[in-house]
Amino acid sequence: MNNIIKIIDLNFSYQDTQILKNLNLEIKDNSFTSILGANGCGKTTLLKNILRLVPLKQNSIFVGNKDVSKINREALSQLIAYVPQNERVNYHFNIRDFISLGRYAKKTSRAEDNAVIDEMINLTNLEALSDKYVEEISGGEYQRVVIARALCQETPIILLDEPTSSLDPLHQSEVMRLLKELVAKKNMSIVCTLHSLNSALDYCNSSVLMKDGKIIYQGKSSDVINVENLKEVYSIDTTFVNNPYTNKKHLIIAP
Amino acid sequence: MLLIIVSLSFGTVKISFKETLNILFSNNNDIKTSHIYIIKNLRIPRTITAILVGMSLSISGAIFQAVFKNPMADPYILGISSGAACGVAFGAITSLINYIPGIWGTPLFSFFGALLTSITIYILSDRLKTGNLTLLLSGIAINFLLSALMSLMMFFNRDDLEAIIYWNMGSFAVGSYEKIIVIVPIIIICIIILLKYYRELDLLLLGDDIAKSMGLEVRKTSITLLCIATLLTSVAVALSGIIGFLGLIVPHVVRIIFGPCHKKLLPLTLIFGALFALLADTFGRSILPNTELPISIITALLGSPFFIYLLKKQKRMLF
Repeated sequence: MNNIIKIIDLNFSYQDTQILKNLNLEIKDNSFTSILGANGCGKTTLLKNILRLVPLKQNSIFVGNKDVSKINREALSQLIAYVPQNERVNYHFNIRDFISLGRYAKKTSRAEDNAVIDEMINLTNLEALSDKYVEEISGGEYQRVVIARALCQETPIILLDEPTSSLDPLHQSEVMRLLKELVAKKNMSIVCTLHSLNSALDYCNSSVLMKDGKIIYQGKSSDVINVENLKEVYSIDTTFVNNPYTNKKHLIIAP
Repeated sequence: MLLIIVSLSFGTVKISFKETLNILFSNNNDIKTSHIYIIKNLRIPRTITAILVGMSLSISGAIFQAVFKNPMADPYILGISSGAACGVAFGAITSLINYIPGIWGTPLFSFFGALLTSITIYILSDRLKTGNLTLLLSGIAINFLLSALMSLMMFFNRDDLEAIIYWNMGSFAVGSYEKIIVIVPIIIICIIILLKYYRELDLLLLGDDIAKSMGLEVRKTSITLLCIATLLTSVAVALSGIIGFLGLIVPHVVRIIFGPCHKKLLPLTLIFGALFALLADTFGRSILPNTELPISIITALLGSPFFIYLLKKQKRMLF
């Protein structure tokens, strides 16, 4: 597998506080990667750097071998789509119209746009909702709508910032299952920041552990998420049992 | 069309609908010359002015609300209309306006005043980044500052007092064919450009980060839109002085009834803006015998209760 994202010695400061320190990261294509770490460790800032939503120095972030700091917004939007944390707008937007906003930068015909929108509505199981309005749907449904909007950009990468943070357990697993399916069906790479370590173990094939603006461990989720690393990153005592549903490691945190 | 004919018929001098229709569409043999003069030289330009100003201020309001992501943003509340009026008052008092050929002086000074205010507000909103309330308070502060400047100009230049008061009151009565011919192309071009930006405006509603991630050059688009909306506001002020509430209320009414999608919102805002301005002007001319009420009073009297009714009725988030 090739690297779809490569970050070399990334530093980022905000108002005299250094948030990211000499950060190096490689994301393989066709992978589902979770970025884990305590609150304030720089996870969201890292995503914003990759998306160039903050001022960026040259030669630090490469997406598909292109220097992110040197390409224009339109070109970047063809490479990476973004699902922000807790996005919730309650405008009276029809779901289909709302999803179609993802086609903004595509220079394609209306027929082609409609075909893509239909496909993404199907993929995200939103057929029954497509005539509703965004303010009428639940948090879990809204998250699927936002993912469908991101999918309409037809990018090889989607970045999601805590996509399950405000969802109940049922909708959390629904969203994570959907993301895992997308990696397989669309041959894309998905990177998401997460707080649920068990979701990372159950769904993500690779994980990255961050502490104080640095990446301290990265690799296969089941390898990276272990007792010693979690003690170091979160200062918590943990143990693992076998998850009978997945036959994978399941984390238990000491109270 | 019916409202246009009703509007042409109403006024201090009563002219029947039939007579109005005859003056407009058939021969004028049996009609009083004074009535023909009133319709053709006073009321038609006034009606056209009301339509143009109504459209310009309403669509500008829709643009300011989307760019600043603030439901209270409109040319009047942000002080952009006052900036335009201040520019004209400054030009008049310093006599600089007289150096500009033709009737371009007023629109030009109006534009510079409005542009300066717009730039100040955009820089403030960009630098402060502390949310909607700060932007609104900055706009109100700028509005007060400009009002104080106008008062100061009035205080030191009592000869021009009447002209400055006129800018503050607003009226469609001064519309003339000469002014309209100059201003119509500017308004049409601006409106056509703005109508093409419906997708960008939808994206701006989602927030800057999301809009950027979808490929929108947010800063460039916002500045372009603000410049065009400012130009529209300034030509409206050059035509009729400061008229409040149109830019605030009309886009909201359309948004409540038809939703926030700019593909529908922008054209409907133009239509409702023209209708509301025309209705307000007709009321202002006909409600009291032999007296005309200033247009701003009518827009506020008519618009505010209706707006509060709609706000109460709707449950979803406006913005």
